[in-house]
Amino acid sequence: MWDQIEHSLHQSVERVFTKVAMLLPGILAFFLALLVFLAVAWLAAYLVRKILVAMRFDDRLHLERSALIEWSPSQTPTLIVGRIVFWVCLLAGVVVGLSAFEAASAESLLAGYLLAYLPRLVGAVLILLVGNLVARFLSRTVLIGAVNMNLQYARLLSSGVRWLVLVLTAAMVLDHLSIAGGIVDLAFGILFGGIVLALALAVGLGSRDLVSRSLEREVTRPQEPVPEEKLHHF
Amino acid sequence: MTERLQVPVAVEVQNERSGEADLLIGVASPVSVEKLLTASLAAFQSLALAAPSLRCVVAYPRDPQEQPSENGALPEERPGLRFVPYLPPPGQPSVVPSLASPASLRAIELIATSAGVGACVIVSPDLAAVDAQTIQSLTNPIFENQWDLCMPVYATGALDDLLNKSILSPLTRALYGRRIRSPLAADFGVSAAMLGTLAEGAAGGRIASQDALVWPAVEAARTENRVLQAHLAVRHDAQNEGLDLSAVLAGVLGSLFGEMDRNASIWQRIRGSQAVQTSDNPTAPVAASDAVDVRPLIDSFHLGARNLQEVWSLILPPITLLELKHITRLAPDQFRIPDTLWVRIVYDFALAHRLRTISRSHILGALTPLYLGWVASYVLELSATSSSAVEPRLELLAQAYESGKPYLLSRWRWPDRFNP
Repeated sequence: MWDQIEHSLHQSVERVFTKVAMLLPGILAFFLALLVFLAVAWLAAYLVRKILVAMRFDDRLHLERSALIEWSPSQTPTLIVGRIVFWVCLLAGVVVGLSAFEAASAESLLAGYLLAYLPRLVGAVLILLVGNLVARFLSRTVLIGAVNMNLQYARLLSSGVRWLVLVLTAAMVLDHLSIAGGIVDLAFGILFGGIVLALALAVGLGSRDLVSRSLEREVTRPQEPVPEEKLHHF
Repeated sequence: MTERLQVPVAVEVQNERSGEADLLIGVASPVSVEKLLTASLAAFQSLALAAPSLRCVVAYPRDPQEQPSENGALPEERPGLRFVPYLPPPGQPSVVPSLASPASLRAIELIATSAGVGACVIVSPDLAAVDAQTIQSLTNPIFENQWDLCMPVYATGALDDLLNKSILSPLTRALYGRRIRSPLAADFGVSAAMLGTLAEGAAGGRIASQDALVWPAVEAARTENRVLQAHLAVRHDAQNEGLDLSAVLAGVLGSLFGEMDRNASIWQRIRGSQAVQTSDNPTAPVAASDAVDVRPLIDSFHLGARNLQEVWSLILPPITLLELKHITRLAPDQFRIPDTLWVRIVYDFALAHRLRTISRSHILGALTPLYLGWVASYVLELSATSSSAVEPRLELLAQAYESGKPYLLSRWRWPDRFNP
């Protein structure tokens, strides 16, 4: 019996080693592909940066008040484009590396599944990043604009915009990842529709008298001369 | 008025040359053509009394929808006076419609060059400056003494021109070392050569962005041209009313901070400031108006302090935020923003604009409540003094800008290291 156990263990260890030995070329191929694409990414980003600097890309964009500058103010447009090129090349390297791993290991199930899901994952991460960026930018824009318009509920407006964009982003991410798509669509529809309906009811019912009084006042108010502004800023 | 007029010697000399005209009056923003004709004819007739051989060109932007006449001449023209319409540049109008855009200036410069004029006067579209005396004040020094640029000194009240008083004038003075009262004036006289320099900057893309403004005084300091000031009895009261304060603040300061960034190598070498020679007698200051209710201004400041801490903390150092917090606790009648604090705020915003700490539109938008706070503080200070105290008060502010310049230099050179 001891011999049988020993034999079984021996066979198991052998199988593990065989598997590892079969995986090794795949892992090697993966890292090789990654290294090659890393070098290509670095070179491509370097070349793109050089070309953009030679084209005075930053100056041209500054002149046209590019949205790129507004969204990512601490980076120059050249740096941003260079980084995008770098990461796109690197992601391509990961995909190619996974293909090579799959070809070398002859274990297509896991790699095939991962490979099919990877673009969705990358897309979802991108949506999440862009959504966060947009939420932060828009909420800050609304906050500053509302403060400059002397609106007392500026922060509330800003938070509302931020959460609206974040909820929209989350729904888009889950939809993109195909996670409970039906529920997300339904929940999102109900939530958004609910917010709009609530606002419409609040204005239509709650502020009906206020709106009608305000309109009446506008119609019946005599034409008064506009008071002269005592402060002149410019 | 005409007794003052003298025949500029240089005008007579100019007439010997092959140029078509001696003087160009340029309007760089959309203008009512009928008003322009009336005002120009009246001014020209007065000028011609003293200088009969004077030849003048009036350049103005024509309505793009309107077809130009066959010979380009207007029926109201007189011998020696010619109207030249030009096609206004496409795109959005300037953030302050009364100020010249670089593209308009370029068009005027082309007309000036083809006419061979010796001096130009750029005027605001309200045409308040199109009268013989003002034109003489702005152009005689250029004709007679070869000055390159003549900037106006307007007779303003204590509560007029507040953006200029609080930031534009003292900041330009501290940076470029020249005490120019209105560095962003709508009216100014300029020699043909200096106009070429201004337009060259516009055409070369240095100031060619759509929202850029023309800063003649800064350009003169950059190119070391000779600048003079002239007292003018001109008021531009109504032309900028109704504009959105935060949009104008963002447009004007964005342009000024942009110039600051571009000219950093120049202003970092300059210390102190020099008085700029001022011609003509000062016009009587405008009488102070009634008491102003500063409560809305203070409320705007408090609203900003409550809501914009997150944005301000990305721009201002902790010590400034602490001081602002103390100010929010002051009673309305005690409300003051000290000059040193205000100067540091302006310098920190300029630095944040340069570093793009956050979006530039956000940086400039977040300055509005602070500016309104400064205005409230200034009004409260002046309410306790006589009108003669305005000039000394503004001089103190300008000196605070100058003495705060080492702070700006330190932060500009080592933004991460130097953060008090």
